[in-house]
Amino acid sequence: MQKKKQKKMKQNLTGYLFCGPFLILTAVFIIYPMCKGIYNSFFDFRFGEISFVGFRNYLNILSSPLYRRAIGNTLLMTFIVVPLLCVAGILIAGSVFDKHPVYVSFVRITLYLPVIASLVVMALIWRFMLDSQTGLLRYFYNLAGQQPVNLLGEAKTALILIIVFLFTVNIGQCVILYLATMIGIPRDLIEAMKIDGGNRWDLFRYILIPFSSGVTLLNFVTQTAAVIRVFVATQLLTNGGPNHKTTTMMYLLYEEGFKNGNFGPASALGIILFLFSILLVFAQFKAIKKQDI
Amino acid sequence: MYKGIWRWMRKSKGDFVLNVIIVLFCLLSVFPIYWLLTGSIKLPADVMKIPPDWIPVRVTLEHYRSIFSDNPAWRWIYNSFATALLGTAGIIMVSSAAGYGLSKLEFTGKKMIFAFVIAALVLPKEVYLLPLYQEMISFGWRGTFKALIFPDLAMPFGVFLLKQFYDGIPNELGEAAQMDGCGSIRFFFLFGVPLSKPGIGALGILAFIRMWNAYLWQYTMATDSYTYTLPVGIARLMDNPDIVDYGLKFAGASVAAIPLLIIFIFFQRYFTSGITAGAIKG
Repeated sequence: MQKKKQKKMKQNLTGYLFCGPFLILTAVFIIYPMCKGIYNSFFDFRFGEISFVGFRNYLNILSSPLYRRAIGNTLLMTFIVVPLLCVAGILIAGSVFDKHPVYVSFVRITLYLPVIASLVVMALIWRFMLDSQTGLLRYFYNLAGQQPVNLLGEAKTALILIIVFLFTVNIGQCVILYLATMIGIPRDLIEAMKIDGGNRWDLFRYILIPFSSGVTLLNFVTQTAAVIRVFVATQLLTNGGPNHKTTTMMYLLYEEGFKNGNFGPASALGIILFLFSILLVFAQFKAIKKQDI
Repeated sequence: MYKGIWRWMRKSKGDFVLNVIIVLFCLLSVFPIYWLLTGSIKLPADVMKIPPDWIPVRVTLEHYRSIFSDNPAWRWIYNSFATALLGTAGIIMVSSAAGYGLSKLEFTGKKMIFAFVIAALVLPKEVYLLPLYQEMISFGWRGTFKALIFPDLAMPFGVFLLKQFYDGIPNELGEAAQMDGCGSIRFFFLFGVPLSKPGIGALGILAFIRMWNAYLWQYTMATDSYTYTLPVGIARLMDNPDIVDYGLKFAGASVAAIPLLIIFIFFQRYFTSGITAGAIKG
């Protein structure tokens, strides 16, 4: 009995020795600030003193047109970009995976370079090229015989451009993952389908899409987590403008929290962002699970 | 083998059209990078020329010289490399220890810790950005490497990934070693770490890219231009209204992209296998 207890003690000790560094770092740099953020979201920090306001920060967010627009833009981008990434990812990888390895490498590298070059650099290049005074875009306007328009200065076109931007800088990651799975599918299976007279569409329908459902889930989850906190694209492409029309949750959180010192609503916005990501990820798990059955 | 599939593909026209579109899309996707790199070595007069020089005609390295002489750009590169390398090393150590513990050891509370790791996978740092910022200020860490490294060391994805790899090592190996009197810690260093090398490599690459390209946190933690990392420094440079020379701006953005591009081109094979091994196992 005594011995057994001692052994258990020793086991626990070794276990926590291994997990200790992770647990301590998590407690200090994730759990504590997370709890503090929840706590902060119930207070008002303006006017020099801190006062408890209950759920008022949350209610104010939901009734403020600016915050609502930030939430709307963020969800719009996520709902358009993420499914588009997965569909395009399957189409591209599925059309490429059985071709010559050199071609496969070409597609992989060219699509992944923007990921490597980083969001910041890509956003800067886009801004250079789209500039109506100095950018390359003028050339195409000239060719068409029109005056250059500042596309990033119009709310509608700016939103569309941000969405296209997010798509082009994230597609590489999706394609790489789909390619790896599809190349791993047994060749006999594809050969068998060929013999049965299956065409390219059948290949997608009956082999590629079902076989890569795991990666689809992975892409959905990681891309949702990435797109929902879009910040660099809005800060560097439009600064949230014109007139806050292209602002996003993360950008507004940054502006309110760091620039205006309005910690309460900014914290509440952070919590709402977190709830949205959990909810979306959960829904995606559910949707994929259902498909498998 | 490939020839057969190629012939079969030719039969279905849709596939051919799709591949043509894909090639065009691939070229479009690298075009901005090409435009940036070539723009950075053009003469100022040629950068904004219309119609443009698709291939640089007159070449100069003047912009690069002035980026490095007018700004602490070497310092930015050093900051980025130092924090990304130290951070990656730290992430690997913390994650492999925790991953091993969660995979191979039995102890009270293990299930709860693993559940937390899963939940934290989707928790973006931005959610607790403000409180973390205040915490850093109260520690007096703002403007130091510590602020850029420590908050990133506990990486739930890393723990999850390496746990998957340790799960692949048969338990019998550990039991046999224990019979021979090899304790958990010795076993971890003698067998665990060497056997999970592919996982550690994948995590290393992912962590390095992530830390190298990180922007928002690095930006809020900077106190002056000597504490910028490369992406932050370059992005600030672009906002400087005094700089009207577009060649200079192009060179600045190129400096931010080139180090990782070079690493990627040389280690392309490891990058792609690392990224996919990591994600598909995970």
